Amino acid sequence: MLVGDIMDRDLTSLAEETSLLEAISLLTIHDTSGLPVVNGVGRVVGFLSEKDILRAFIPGYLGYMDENFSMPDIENIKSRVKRVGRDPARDYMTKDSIIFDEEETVTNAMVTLFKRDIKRAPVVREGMLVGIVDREEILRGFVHDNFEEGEVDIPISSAK
Amino acid sequence: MIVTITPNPAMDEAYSTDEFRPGRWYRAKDVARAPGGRGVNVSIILKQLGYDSVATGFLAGHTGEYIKDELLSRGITTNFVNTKGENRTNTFIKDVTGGIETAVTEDGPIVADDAVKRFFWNLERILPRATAVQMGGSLPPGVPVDFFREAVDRVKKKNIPVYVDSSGDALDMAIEALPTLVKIDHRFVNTVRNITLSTLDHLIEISKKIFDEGVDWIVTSYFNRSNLFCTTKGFYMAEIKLDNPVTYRAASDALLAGMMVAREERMGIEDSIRFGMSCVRQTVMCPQKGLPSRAAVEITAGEVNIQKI
Repeated sequence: MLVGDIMDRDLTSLAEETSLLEAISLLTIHDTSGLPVVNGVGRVVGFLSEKDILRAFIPGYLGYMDENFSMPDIENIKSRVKRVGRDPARDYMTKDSIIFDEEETVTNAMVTLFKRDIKRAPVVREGMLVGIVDREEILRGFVHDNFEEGEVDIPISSAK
Repeated sequence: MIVTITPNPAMDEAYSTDEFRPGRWYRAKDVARAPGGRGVNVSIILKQLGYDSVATGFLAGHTGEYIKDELLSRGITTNFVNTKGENRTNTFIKDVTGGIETAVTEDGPIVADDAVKRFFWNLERILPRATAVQMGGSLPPGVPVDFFREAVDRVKKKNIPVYVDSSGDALDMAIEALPTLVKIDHRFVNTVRNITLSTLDHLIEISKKIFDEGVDWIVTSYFNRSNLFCTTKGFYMAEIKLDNPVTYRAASDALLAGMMVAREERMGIEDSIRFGMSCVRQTVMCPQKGLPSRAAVEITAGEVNIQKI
């Protein structure tokens, strides 16, 4: 089974120039933890997750401090949100994010998601966004591919 | 790749009862739920005809999630703008004995300006991959009345064929942008460009007027079984046989889906009309949303009665 067989054929995405504050609103209303960032013709150029936005909002020095000394100064964070909230997604997105080709096997995709510890990734055809896959779909696809019906307890027939 | 635009998608809930009269309680004999709205229906029918499409528009609330999930599970690509509120539920009650259908629809969610801007941002990014664009139906509150005109303008700038099926001011304004094909549903529209659509002469008059402005195809429904086609090769009246019609809900969408497939496959004018009308016949007779198969459409295409007028 290929990634293209199990992905959600949904093209919801952010523009490179979408601001971080706008991105928060879009992640919320689309009920998702991250979205692909595409250029003017739909080519995937990165991925912006809630983690990327958090990283942008939390002052850098907190990352270097010992946990016990990591009490954040709310004013510091507020001023940072003010400063970077209108910055474009392209400045904070993960540029070398995992992107699957629709012809990639589900098994390869499963291993990649595990190694990079990511939840979801865009799927492309010749670089253009054609869908998105998440761990749940990958896992269902893997079980569907590698087990006979009844061999394991997941109802395989419900896989897409 | 074909793009469909449904500004006001819906969940269609169809109940069948032996009889239906206002003021009484009934237990439905049968309930069918399906995603609906002009473009959504076209996407579903295109898939049944073997064509991929991207369904776009505005989604809201639980109904919006249902519409999106249903489309994705049918293998249709989605690129909707999510907005606050709740998409429409269109309720249809079929009186099986009398063969009469009653419908109650909603306005739809209030769509904010930024969602409309985002829609056009999405559209611009899909257009480089589009081979045709269809748009239609009603506009939800908040979407400007010139929405279709702006969409047609943007599509035409890319030299992509564009199909419009709407009514009222939204349709009149869309026509100003000169789409490739305009569908006017005679059953729901009383006037277009201040011409009353009460006789065949009136339909011909309005079609001719729009054709002269620069629209290549104008299709107007003429009673339940016929459509009048105004084309670059003159007027045609096409009629289908309907033995046991189930519902006319997606008839217009079937016609547009068929006409788009005909164009993709470079069919001639008469063959395009036959194919489109056969899609209507199969959809009107099909108990499920859309039509049974492309093979069924091809079988009955030869039975479409066409007269040049």
